[in-house]
Amino acid sequence: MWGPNEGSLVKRLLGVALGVLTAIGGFVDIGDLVTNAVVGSRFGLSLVWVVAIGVLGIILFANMSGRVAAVSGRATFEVIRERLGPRAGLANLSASFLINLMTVTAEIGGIALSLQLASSVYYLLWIPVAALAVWLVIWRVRFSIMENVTGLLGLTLIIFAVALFLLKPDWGSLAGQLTPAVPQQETVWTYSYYAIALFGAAMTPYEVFFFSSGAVEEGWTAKDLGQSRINVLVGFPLGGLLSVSIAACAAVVLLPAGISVTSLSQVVLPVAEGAGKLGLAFVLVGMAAATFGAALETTLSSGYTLAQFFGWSWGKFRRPAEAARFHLSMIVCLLVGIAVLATGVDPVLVTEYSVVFSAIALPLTYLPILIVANDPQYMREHVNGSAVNVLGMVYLVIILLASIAAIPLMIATGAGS
Amino acid sequence: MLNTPALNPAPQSRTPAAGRLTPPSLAALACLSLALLTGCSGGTSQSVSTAVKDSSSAVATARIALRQDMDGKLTRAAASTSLDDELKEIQTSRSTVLKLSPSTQEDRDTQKQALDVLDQCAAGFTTARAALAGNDGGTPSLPDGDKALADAQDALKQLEDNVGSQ
Amino acid sequence: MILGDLLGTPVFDADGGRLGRVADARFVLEGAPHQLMVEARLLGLVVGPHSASSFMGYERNGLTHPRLLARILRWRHRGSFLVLWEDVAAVGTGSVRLRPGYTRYSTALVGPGKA
Repeated sequence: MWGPNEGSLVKRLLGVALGVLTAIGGFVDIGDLVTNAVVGSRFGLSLVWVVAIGVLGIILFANMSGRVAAVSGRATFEVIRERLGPRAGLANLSASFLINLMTVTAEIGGIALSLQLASSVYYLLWIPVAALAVWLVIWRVRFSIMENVTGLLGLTLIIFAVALFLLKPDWGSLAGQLTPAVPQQETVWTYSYYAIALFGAAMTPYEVFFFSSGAVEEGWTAKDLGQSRINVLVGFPLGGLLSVSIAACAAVVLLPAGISVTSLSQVVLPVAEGAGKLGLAFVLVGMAAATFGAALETTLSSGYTLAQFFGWSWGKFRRPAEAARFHLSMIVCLLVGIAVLATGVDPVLVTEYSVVFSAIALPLTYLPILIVANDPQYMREHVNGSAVNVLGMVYLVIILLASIAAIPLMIATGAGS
Repeated sequence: MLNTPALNPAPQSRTPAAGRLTPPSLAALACLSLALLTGCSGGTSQSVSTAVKDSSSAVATARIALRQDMDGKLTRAAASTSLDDELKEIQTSRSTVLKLSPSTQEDRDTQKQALDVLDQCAAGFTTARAALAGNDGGTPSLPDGDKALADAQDALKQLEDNVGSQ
Repeated sequence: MILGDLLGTPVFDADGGRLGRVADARFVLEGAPHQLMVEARLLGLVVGPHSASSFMGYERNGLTHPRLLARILRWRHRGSFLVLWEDVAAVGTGSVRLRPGYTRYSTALVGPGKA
């Protein structure tokens, strides 16, 4: 994902391009797919401002945690344990780990649902296949190959943007929806609830565990900070645009028909409407790749968080036998995910809850990273600048507000229904 | 083991720490959330109206999928997955309405009406799925399926107006 | 009893007046090199009148950013002090009692510190 920086200029440019492209393709996961489509079909484009806030937030957060990892050589949960101490750290780990496990479950369900759309074979039959494939890739495939292949295949989701143009919407009225306003048939409470869900989908904590652990996996040093900054600064906003185009497609085709999205099969209908069977093929490849890539990242993240907290040796750069507990814990997580899905619980529902719980848990990882990014003992001269700190504090307030408001809103709206 | 002098009893009773949840505040919280939850579950017409809204969304989706299939925009696999998903949605709505225990005659009538319309929706889906599965020029044809779903959509619309006017 | 159980325990002076709770324990590395490292000696306990939560690193004077966060965390730990282990009279399961005439030392650590 963030190639090393030696070699000729052409090679370096290719490295930058590859990094940016995989950052775009890797940005969208089942949470973004479902939440953006649900929001687009119910609220039009009136929540796009939340995506913008979320993208800026994840840029800030990924930048800080990547810098901490590259400079101090410590990944997120090593830092959390050092800063919070074992007791508060364990509470933090438990919450973050459980929510990550929920996301693993949602992503595996997402792979299975995408495969059902492609094959019409019932998704429950695909779940063991998907989980096995995830495990095999984690076990056998090199980190950089795994990241680049899923990231590049995930880029086919750009078909959402293409389909939007092919649908020839009334751009004027679409742009008119951009102002934040609660639509007639919704309440201010459901509006706020989905604002938090959308924020949680854009700023999922696992992306940060993964980003910082990935930096250690790939052996970043302070020299690689430039490359990672470009990937984040260019890739994530473009990924955010992809999210907005998913919402826009739903707003153009599904909203006028009175459809509110509850399944993945509804998410692809606007693409088929605009771009036909070929578009459908693209979107199915893209969804399968994006959810598969995210399933790899979340599964690895669950191994990373546990191993970093308890001080086990971890990482794909080690042979599995040398990081046995790391690999074993990931197998257990995959099995738990299969077991949860085998109960027949709707993966789309799991996804909707997982993004909200992600928002709830966000302060737990954000605050320690913000503090350590300011600590010269870890960061030497690479501490946060004052502009980053001002932004960092603004986001701390936003993240805390979203986290505190989420559960009351969930109860008051019946989880957004 | 810490190397310290003998144990010493606490000199004074401990006061509950500020910010901790004490039993009374916990009970209040439980009552509040219970009140919220029961408040949200609503009465018969509320539940029926939600079920009707969900079902309308499902039928509208199925109609788009069917039309796209006729236009050659959707693969058979995607279209049939879509119909399966939306039929499941109808079944969920139907079982919600079925489980209601209406207390007045008016509510009982509403429940009965809703069940009739939802059954019509389910029947519409059966026709549409059969059309999609067969699709060899026999009956029912895809336009038949679309017709059945359109009728169900009209019935839902009517029911929505009825429930809404109460 | 292990040291971790001590965190959060109420601290009283010799007359039974409540001073706060144990927020942290301070160690010094000194003495002859042992098998693995020099021995750590428990220097004393940090007593927090308002909060026994973590200082999150802001016990070091050199750490001042982000300003607002540093101020909030310092405010939460206002009035906290270090008592030497010699000034601790008794450690019970639910309380720590100090000797009469114990000395309050500043909890601040100078500079960003070294790992």
